[in-house]
Amino acid sequence: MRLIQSLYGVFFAAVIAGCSTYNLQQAQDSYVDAVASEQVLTLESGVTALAQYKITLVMVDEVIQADRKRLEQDGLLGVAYTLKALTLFKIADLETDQLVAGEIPSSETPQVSEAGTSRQNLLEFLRSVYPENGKPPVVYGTRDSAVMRSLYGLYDYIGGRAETDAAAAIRWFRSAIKQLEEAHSRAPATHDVQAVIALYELTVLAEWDWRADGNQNLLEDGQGNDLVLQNTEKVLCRTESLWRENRMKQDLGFNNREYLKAFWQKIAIAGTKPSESKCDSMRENGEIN
Amino acid sequence: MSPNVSTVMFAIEGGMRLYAAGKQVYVDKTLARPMPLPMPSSSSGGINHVSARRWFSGETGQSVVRKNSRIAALLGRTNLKASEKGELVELYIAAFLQYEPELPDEFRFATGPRIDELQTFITIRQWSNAEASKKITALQRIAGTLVNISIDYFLEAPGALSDNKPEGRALRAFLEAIDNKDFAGTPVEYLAGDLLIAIVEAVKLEPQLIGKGDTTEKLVRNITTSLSISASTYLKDLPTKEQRQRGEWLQLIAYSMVKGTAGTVLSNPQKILGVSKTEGVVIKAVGGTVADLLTGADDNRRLQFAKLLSGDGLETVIKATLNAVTDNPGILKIGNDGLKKVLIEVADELELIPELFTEDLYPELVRLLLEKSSANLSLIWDINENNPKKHLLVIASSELMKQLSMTHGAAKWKPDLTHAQALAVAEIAFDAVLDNPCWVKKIAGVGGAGEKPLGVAIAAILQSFAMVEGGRFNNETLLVALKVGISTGAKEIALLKKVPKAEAGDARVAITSAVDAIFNGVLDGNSNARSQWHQARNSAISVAIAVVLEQLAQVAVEKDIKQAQILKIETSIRDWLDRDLSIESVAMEIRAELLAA
Repeated sequence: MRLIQSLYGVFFAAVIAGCSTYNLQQAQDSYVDAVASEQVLTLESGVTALAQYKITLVMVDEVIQADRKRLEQDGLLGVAYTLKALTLFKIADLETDQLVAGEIPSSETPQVSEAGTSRQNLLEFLRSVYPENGKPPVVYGTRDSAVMRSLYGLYDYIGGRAETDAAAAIRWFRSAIKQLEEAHSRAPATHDVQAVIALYELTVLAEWDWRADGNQNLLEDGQGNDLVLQNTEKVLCRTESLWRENRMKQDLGFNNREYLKAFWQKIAIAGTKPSESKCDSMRENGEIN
Repeated sequence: MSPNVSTVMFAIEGGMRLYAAGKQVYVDKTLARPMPLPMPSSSSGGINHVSARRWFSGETGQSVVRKNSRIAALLGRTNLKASEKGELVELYIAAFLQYEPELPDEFRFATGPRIDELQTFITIRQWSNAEASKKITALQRIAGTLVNISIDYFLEAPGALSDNKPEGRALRAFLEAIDNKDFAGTPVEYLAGDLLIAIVEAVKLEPQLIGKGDTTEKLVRNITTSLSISASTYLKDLPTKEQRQRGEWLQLIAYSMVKGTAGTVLSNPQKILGVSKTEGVVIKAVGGTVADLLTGADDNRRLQFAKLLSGDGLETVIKATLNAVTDNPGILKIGNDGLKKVLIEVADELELIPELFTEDLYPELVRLLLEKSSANLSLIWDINENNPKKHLLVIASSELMKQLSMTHGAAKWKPDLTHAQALAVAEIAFDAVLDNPCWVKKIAGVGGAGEKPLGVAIAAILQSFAMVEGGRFNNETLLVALKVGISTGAKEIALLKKVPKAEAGDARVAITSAVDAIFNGVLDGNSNARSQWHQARNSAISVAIAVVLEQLAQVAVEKDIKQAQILKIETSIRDWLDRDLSIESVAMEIRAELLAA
């Protein structure tokens, strides 16, 4: 028995010390901590989260550089790439937020600012590990694949936010919606990740709505609030089973209350929600599936 | 003893295999790990005046605007100041939370952050349910945890890790049950270690399972499966802390199920464990019902049953439920829900009496009710109804608890029974109902509106004891009186009807009047001291009540009970005391007097 006990100890020591998986798990932990710190409602939460995402980026880069081969053999390189891409996205997102909020000197233009660089880093990384078109160089899990495709849309979204000109910003947002729709159409219909893609779309549409508000020129071009409303209703109808309690489905979500919370916040931001009959009609007309 | 070469080689080989398997577990876990996906930041600041304007232009919003001139004024202006935009947003959030028709109540009545303050991210799994079930079993996901726990446990019990030992076989059966793709994506990961220890420990403590390997394995497999399903059903969407708390109950249920079912299962394995398609049906029904009450979504129920089923009570209820289902599978035909409702109904009735609402009485009361139910199911429960309010023994229990919880008489007295005595009364009541179901059905002329014969009989006796505030007589006398009251009432319904008014007093139920007369006769203090010493003993009075009510029931067959007869009882009792004879010896005289009156 003592022998087995010793071997048991050796086994776990070996697994932990010799396995790049363990280091990747540590990077995942760091990322989860960063997301959690972003949820704390304090003025400093964005700064704290940004620092934590940057630590995560260093960790995941180290894992990829040191163990790329083994990660690939184990089928985990896609996980590492997704983690890095998400981290790059959040760094670019939070830096852009600071820029927009005026926390970065106005003399720096978005293109040369840290935020602009981070955004460019995100795009280049995405293109190298998950091309917009064509087969990715490594294997991705279902969620990770959908997330990588969505990040092209979020790259556009951040670009729109950084724009000072409303019309230019809205062009970015339109492109973001197009990219996210593409991610939606590629992801399996019954995977939870569809909920996240929809929430990303609602976030983009809310921002678009806000930037278009009161801008007559944009309204005349048909890019204003009416178009936002139309798209918002479409996304909400598509995800009706996640937020409308009498139509909620158990088979999709593994945390229905979490979805409910997220979607109802977006509904409150949108200030509208489609009726059940409207959603039924959209489904019948083939506007949504 | 030093290890030899073979042992070392074997250990190295085992270690290598373990390493490979362990590494794969780590890889799978990393790949499949659910990850939070945060929302991007926004410049609009979440809910803003654009949100407000749009909502107030909708159907619900317009109705709010019509009632609030300030909102109408703000909406009527095009260039709002920043402070006014802020005010509009505040008004919007308040209206949204109050009037948005489809907003889930948890946000409308939230005590935590408001909907505009919620920070959102969603944790997403790598694989969909369909994909996960093809990729990895729960055993694979938790192998590391289980190996860890099992080694710790079995190091303390040398020799137990063997297929020849019940613990070893229990471990194997547990692992087989967990190694099922159906549980992929369930929170069994958090609970597996606790469930494993509970089950293996319980098996070890049941010596009767030794030498019954196949049955033990099947029992463990079914219990594990049943509770894993419950974990998936009730714990899946909960925060980890809550999962752990409710998981502790599942651990206790697992332990109690092995302990509570071992004997029954061994005596009749096929009937309880089932074969092929019916395998595990009984175990799942019982385990699922109990788990629902103790770990389900209803907070109040969980609190109620946590109080009633702590300690050995859980084992008693599980055993009773299993026995009842085994004796009469018809109980299952009413569905789990029906069984659950019976357990709830009895708990609710018992809650009426705080002093009896304890973990001692409830399990025994349930055991008694289910024992009696299983033997007479078709008699007492229309299985098409599936309504515990129509279960005759539940009604009987309700009637009994109602009477025991009420005060009686002018002195507002109520019985102070021990749990064993309350249970004895329940058994008397249940037996009466099984003998004649009419005891819990309304009968013309018996009792007032909504009163049933059983309640009338029990109340009749309690009324009499209230007259002397119960203090003169012990609870055993009360129990005898209740039993006699019910048995004589069963013989002759006239005893449950009111005796017509006479000058001597108000109309009261015949039993009350008769027992009152006995008490009056015994307690008037005019008989000689020696006779008082002999006949006013509780044991003698118990017999007196039995004899008098028996005679009254016989007389009532031949003629209506009148106040004159009641008065005659009192006279007869005084006469009996004066003569200092045994009450049995004067029984015929009493009957003659009653007939003559």
